[in-house]
Amino acid sequence: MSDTGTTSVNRLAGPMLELADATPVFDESGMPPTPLTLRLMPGECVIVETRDMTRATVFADLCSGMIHLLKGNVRFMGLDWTELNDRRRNALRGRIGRITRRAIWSNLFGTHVAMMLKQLHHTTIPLETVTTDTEHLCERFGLPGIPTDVPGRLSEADIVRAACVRAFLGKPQLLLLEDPLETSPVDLSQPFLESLTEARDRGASAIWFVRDPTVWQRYRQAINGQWRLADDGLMTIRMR
Amino acid sequence: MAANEIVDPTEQNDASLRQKLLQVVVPVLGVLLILVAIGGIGLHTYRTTRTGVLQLTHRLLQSVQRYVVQDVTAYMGAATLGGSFAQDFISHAPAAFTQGAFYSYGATMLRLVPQIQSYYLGDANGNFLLVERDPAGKGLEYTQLKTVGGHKIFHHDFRGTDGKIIRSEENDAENYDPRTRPWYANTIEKKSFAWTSPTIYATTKQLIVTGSVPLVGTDGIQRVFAINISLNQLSQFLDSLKISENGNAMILDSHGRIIAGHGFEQIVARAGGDPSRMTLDPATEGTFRRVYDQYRVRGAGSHPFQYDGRNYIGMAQDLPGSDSWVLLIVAPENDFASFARQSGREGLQFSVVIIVLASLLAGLLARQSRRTERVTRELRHERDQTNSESAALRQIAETPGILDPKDEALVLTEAMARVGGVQRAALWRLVHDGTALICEDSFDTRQTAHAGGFEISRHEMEDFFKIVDAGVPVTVTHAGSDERTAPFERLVMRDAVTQSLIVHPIRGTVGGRSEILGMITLENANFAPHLVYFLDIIAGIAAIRFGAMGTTGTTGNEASGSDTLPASPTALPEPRFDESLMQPPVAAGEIGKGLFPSVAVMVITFTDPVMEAEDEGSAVLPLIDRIAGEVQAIARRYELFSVKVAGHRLICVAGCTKDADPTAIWRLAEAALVLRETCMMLLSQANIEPIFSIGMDFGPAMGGELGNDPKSFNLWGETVTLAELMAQGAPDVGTIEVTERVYQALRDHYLFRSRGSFYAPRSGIGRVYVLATRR
Repeated sequence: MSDTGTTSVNRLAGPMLELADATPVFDESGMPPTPLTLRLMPGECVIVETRDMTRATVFADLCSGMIHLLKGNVRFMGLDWTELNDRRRNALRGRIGRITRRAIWSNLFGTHVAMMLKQLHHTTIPLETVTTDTEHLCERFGLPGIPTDVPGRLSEADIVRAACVRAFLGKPQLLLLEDPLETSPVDLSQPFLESLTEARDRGASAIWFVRDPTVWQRYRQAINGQWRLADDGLMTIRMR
Repeated sequence: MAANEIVDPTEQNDASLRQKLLQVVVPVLGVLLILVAIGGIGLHTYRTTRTGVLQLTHRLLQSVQRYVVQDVTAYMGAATLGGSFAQDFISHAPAAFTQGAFYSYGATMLRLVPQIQSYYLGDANGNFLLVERDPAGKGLEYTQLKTVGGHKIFHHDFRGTDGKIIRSEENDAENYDPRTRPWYANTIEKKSFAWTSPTIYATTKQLIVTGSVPLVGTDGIQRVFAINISLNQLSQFLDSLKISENGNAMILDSHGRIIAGHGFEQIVARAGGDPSRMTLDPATEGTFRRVYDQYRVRGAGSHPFQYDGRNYIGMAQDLPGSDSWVLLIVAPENDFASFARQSGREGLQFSVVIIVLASLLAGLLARQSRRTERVTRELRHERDQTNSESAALRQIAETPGILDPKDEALVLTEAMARVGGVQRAALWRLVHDGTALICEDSFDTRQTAHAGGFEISRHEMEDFFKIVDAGVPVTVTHAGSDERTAPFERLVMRDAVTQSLIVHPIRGTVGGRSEILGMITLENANFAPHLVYFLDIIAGIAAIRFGAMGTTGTTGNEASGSDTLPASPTALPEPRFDESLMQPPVAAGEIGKGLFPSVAVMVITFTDPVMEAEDEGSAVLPLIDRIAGEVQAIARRYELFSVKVAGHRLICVAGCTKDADPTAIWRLAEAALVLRETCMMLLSQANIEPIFSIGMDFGPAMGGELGNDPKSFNLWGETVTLAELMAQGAPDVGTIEVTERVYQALRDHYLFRSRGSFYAPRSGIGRVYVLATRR
C-alpha cells in the first residue's frame, strides 16, 4: 500500500495552520466576529470541543480559507489564503482532508466518485493507484470494497465509513475532522485512530472537532491541545 | 504527493511571471512607446513644416510672379507707352519736321532702352523710315526708303554717338512697301495699338515682336509708328530669375507659342527659327505643358500637380500690356520642402540616438531588476535553507533516543535528504573489522521510503573502501564512470537511477583511539558546500550510535550476520502441518484434486477482545476452546467438508465435489446462522462484546491435498478470497456478509439485506448482502 509505512520529507519548518486574530465576517459565516488565534505545528493534533457542530463546520471552512475575514489572516502551510489566486487556492484545498457533518454527498454519482474525485481532480496519480489506495482504506474502515452505489442507498454506517476514507485518502496535510465516532452506528475508533496516527507520523496536522469529550479519551495521550469553540471565540482548556 | 499535484499551490510562477513582465516587458514597452512618440512627433513636425514651407513657397512664388509681371510689363511698356508718346509727339509735329521728330525720338529711346531693337514709321504714301542700332558699331543707323529713278532703294546713314554722319550706304529695297507689312496693315485695320506676331529680325537674327500705333500727322497723312522689341532680352531676363534650384519661368502667347523662357536659344534652334513652330515640347517641357493645359481649363492661378512621380507647384498669370501673353512658373516642391525633409531626417537621427540611450538605460534597469530579483531569490533560498536546517536540527534534537542504538534513528537520513536536496541518503557502518559496510538506514525521497540491512564487502570494491578508509569527504559527479565508485554504483545506485555520489566519513572513537566507523552517502545531492557542517553533525551522532553498537553488540543486522542461531530455551514441538479442526472425509470419496465447481466457503474473523488485565488472556482460553468444540459439532451436524483455523480466522468449506452440490451452500448458511447464534451466546455469557464477523461466498475453487505424511488439504481461488473479503468488510460485528452469488442461491429461503454495490480491484463491481435470518 502506497499510503503506509513512509514518512514525507515535505515537513514544514513553520506552523501547518495558523490563525492570527482571524475575525470572520458575521453575515457570511454566522460566527461572532471575535478574533481567533490558533497555531498548529506539523504532526500535531488538537481537540476542539463545541456543542454546536454547525459552528465546527464553519470553523473548518474558516481554516480552509472559505470565509472572508474582517481582519487577521489564516495561513495554511505558510500560505495566506487571501494572497492566493483561485487556481492555487483550490489546489491548496486539495491538501486538506475533511470529515463534515454537513450533508456533502450528492446522489448524482456513485459514492466512489465522491470519494476519489479530490485525488483525481488535483493530482496526476494514476487511476489504478488511487483505486488501490481507496480500496485499502475501504478495507481498513470495514467496507468490502469501494462503494459504487449512490450515497443515498448506502447505510448510515457505510456513509460514515466512506466519509472517513474520503478524508484520509491522498495523504492530506491537514485533517479537519468533525467527529465521526459519536454519530457512527458502528465502532470505527480503531481504524480512525490508526489512520489519524499514521497521518500525523507523516507530518500532517489534525483538528478533531468533538461534542462528547468521552470519544477521544482513548487517544488522550497523543493530543497536543484542547480548545473550546464558543460564541466568545476559541478558548484553550488546560488538559488534566 | 506534491510531485503529482497538477497545480502546486506553493509555486511562485505567477509572481515570477509578473516580476519578469515588470522587469523586462515594461522597459521594452517604454522604449517602444518613446519610439512611437518620437516617430509621431517627427512626422507631425515634418508635416507641419512641409505645409508651412509650401505656404511660404506659394507666397514666394506669388511674389516672384508679381515681380515678373511687373518686369515684363515694364519691359513691354517701352512699346506701349513709347507708342502712345510717339503717337502724340509725331502727329503734332509740322509735316516738315516729322522725319526729324521721328529720328530724334527713336535715337533717344534706342540709347535709353536696351530691349528696343528699332523704330519704324510708315505712311499711306508708301514712305518708310527706320532707326536702329548700328550692327557694326555703337552708333545708330538711319534708314529711309527712297525712290531713285523709279526704283526703290534704302538709304542708310550711319551716325556716331555724337550724331554726326559717319558713312552712308544704299541698297535695293526690292519694291519694299511698308503698307503691305503686317505691322502696318494690322494697325490700320485695328485703328489702335496692335501687336504683330513674333518674327525673326533679319539684321540681328533675333526674335522680335512689333507693337505699332496709327497716327495722322498735321498734313493729314495716315502714318503708323512701330516699335520692335527684342524677345531675347526677355528670355535672358527670365533666365536670370532665381525662382528656386530647379524652378523656371516661361512666357507663351495666346496661341501657345513660346515668347520667352529658359533655354530659349535651344527652342529657337529646335524650331529652325520659325516662331510659329516654337511650341512646348512634351519631352522637355512636360511640366510647362501641364501647367498651360491647366491654365487653359481653369484659368490663371496656382496649380499644384504631380508629374512623373514628383510634386510640382505650377502658376499661370496673364500679362497685362501684352498681346494676351501668359506667364508660366514651374518649381518642384522638393526645392522648397527638401529642407523640411532634411530637418525631419536629422530629427529622426537625433531621436535614434535618444532611443539608443533610452534602450541602454532600459536594459540596464531591467538587468539591475533581474539582478536584484536573483539576489532576493538567493536570499530567500538561503533563508529557506536556514529554516530547513534549523527545523532538521530541531527535529533531530527532539527525537527521543537518538543516541540509543536500540532505537532506529530514521530522522537522520530524512534530515540529510531534506536539507541537502538529496535523492537518497544512507548511513553505512563498517563491520567485521572493516571488511564490510552495512547499510543502517537508507532514505529515498522519491519513494519516501526507508530501507536498510544490505551489506557490501571490501573484496567486491576495494577502491571504494579506500575512499572510506581515507576519511576525507569525496564528491563524484558520475559515479558510474569513476573507477573507485563504479562497483558501488552498479550494486547500490543503479536501482535508484542516481548518478552523483557524495561520500562523507563517519569518524569516531573506539577504545580511546579515533578511527573510521562508517560513512554517509548522498546520491544525486544538490548539496551546498557550506552544509558540510551539517553532515559533520549527523556523522557525529552516527558515530556515537555506531560506537555504542560496537560495544553492546546489539544490532539486529550484525547478529543476523552471525553463523549460529541462539539456542532455544526449551525444545520446540514438532511442526504441525495440519491446523484442521476437522479432517476432510476421505472415506466418503468426496475428496479430489483440481477444480471444484461449487464450493461454499465461510470465513469467520475474530478480533482480539479488549483486555483490561494481562492475566485475562489465559482466562479466555477455555472460552475459545469451547467455541472450537461448538464449531466442530456444528460442522459435523451440517456435514461440512472441512474446517480450518488460521490465526484469527476460521475457514469452513462445503461442497468439495467434482459435481456441483446444490445443498452445500444451504448447509453452510445454516451452519453460519447456528454458529453466529452460538458464538453470540457464548460471548455474552463471558461478558465479551461480539468480536467476530462472518463472510460467505459460493463458487468454483481450486483445491487438493498437499504435502506428504500427513497430507494437508487446502483450498484457494477467488471464492476463498471473496469470502475472506466479506468477513473483513462486514458492516458490523456478528453480521454475516455474503456475495451476490450466495444471495442468488439462497434468496428463496433466507432473508437478505442489501448493503450496496462495491468495487474490488480483482473482482470488479458486485453487490454485497447481509444474511439476516431464515424466511
